[in-house]
Amino acid sequence: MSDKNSETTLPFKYQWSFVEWMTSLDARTPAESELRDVVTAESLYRLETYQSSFLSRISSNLSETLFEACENLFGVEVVAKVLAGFFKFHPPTAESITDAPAQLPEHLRATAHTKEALLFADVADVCMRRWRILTAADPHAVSPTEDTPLEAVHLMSPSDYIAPSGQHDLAAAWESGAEKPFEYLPDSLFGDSAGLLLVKTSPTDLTFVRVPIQLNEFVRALVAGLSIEQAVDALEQSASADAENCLALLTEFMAKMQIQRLLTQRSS
Amino acid sequence: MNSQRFTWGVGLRPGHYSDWQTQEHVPALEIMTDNLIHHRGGPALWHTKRIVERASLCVLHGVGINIGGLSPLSTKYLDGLKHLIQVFKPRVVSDHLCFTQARGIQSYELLPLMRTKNTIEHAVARIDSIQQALGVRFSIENVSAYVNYREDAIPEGEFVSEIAQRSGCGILLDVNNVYVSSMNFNLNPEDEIKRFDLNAVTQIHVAGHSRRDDFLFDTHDSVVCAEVWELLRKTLSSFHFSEHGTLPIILENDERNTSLTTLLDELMKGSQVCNEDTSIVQPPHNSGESHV
Repeated sequence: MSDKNSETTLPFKYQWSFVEWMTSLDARTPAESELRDVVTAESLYRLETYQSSFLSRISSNLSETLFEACENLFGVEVVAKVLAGFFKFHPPTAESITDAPAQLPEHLRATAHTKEALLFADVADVCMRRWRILTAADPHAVSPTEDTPLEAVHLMSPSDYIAPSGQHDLAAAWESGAEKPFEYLPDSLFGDSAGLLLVKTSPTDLTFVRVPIQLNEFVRALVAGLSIEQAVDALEQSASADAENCLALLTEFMAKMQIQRLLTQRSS
Repeated sequence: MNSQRFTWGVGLRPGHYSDWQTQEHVPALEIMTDNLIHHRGGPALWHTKRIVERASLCVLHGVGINIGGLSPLSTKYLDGLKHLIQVFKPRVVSDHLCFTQARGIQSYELLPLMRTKNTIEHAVARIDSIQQALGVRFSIENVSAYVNYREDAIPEGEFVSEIAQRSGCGILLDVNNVYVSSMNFNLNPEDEIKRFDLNAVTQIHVAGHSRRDDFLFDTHDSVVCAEVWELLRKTLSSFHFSEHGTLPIILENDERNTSLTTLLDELMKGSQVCNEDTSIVQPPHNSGESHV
């Protein structure tokens, strides 16, 4: 039974009208007229229930999953309004509601005229990166022990990067690794750092780690696909005059990433 | 009433993960398929695995398979569901008898089907494909409806039952949905329940609803009303068990501020209304409000 043929038969031909009308978020579409022809007169006034339920279900789901940070920053009503504006132009096609706003940051950057909207785009982008990492496959070795070979520890491979835009001499790695600079995220988020690494440190935790700006080379190695262990090797072997200083910073940095144990292993 | 005939439980919700970790007895749990199906790791899977392994049984319940729609069944969705079945070994795997999308656009809603012979043919074929893909018996749930169609030709209970009979699938009988739809269309809910083939029922749902203007809306955000508990009690008394084993009865509540204690208290109350053994649904010791 092909879609096209079935859409011409009575039990099915209303289905597209129903979905089109719901997702258009506009009661005055031709689709609504078609629905009026198939729904009984007595229950017609309840059609709107489905349309309002569509938006509230999406908003509620995204509030619990992706956009908690957006709601904290902008408020529930603003988030709902932004989503309504977005879905009116981009009806959802993703099976998962959490994938439905994937194009929201791009949409806002292309259409928004206020700094607040552009900040929303950046925050939403970070929220979605966070969710994508959090729900990705868990690290193989969650709690490395003294006996765990370094090559078996994938846990500490950073999962994503958030690079500030403009205020630092960023490693080229940011340019190649980040899809878009985060122009409107406040400097306070980054401080005196090259950016943030997002690291899944356990099946239930995701950590944002600030990267000292002196470690741009190190980060470049990570973005090029090296594991943290390999990037440390590369730094140790480099002839850079700053290598010693960098290694000291790296020790501090990696301690924050809870991999002091690995450094201890290396030196023993 | 023989208490072994039914296994009482609740829907597993993210807001209750930490409370379940300290709960001594874990009753039957319903896992929302769509909360996990797109995850490859992370907190939801991690917590669910650890909680469900202590549950008396679990069932998988989805909203996104699109049984009555025209778009091809999603291989990705079916593969994901098959994986979840392997991981959790659920007693029942179900979704709603409705359509949720058209031409690739998702509504994320449970939209009512036009109840005709052609729709039955279509649903039976789709359920055959689903059962073949999953390798298990599937179950279909009756949905709450707010509108009906001029061309509706078959009462809902008979519509669902014929699809179940012809496809060999089971029925997830949502007693609250029967009540809501009956009230919305001036029908007698007890008569409507009798239209369902109870021999095909593999699971039961009960939930709260709310009133909007002059009709009822299936919100899952409030306590179950006395009328629905009474409808459940009468329904349960109609079951004649031979080879069913225990039948899961799941209380659904999607209100994120409802604590686990409140939920289990309500489940216990409901099971008492139905004259059932409540030992498995004792509230947790020292459990406070939900840690949402």
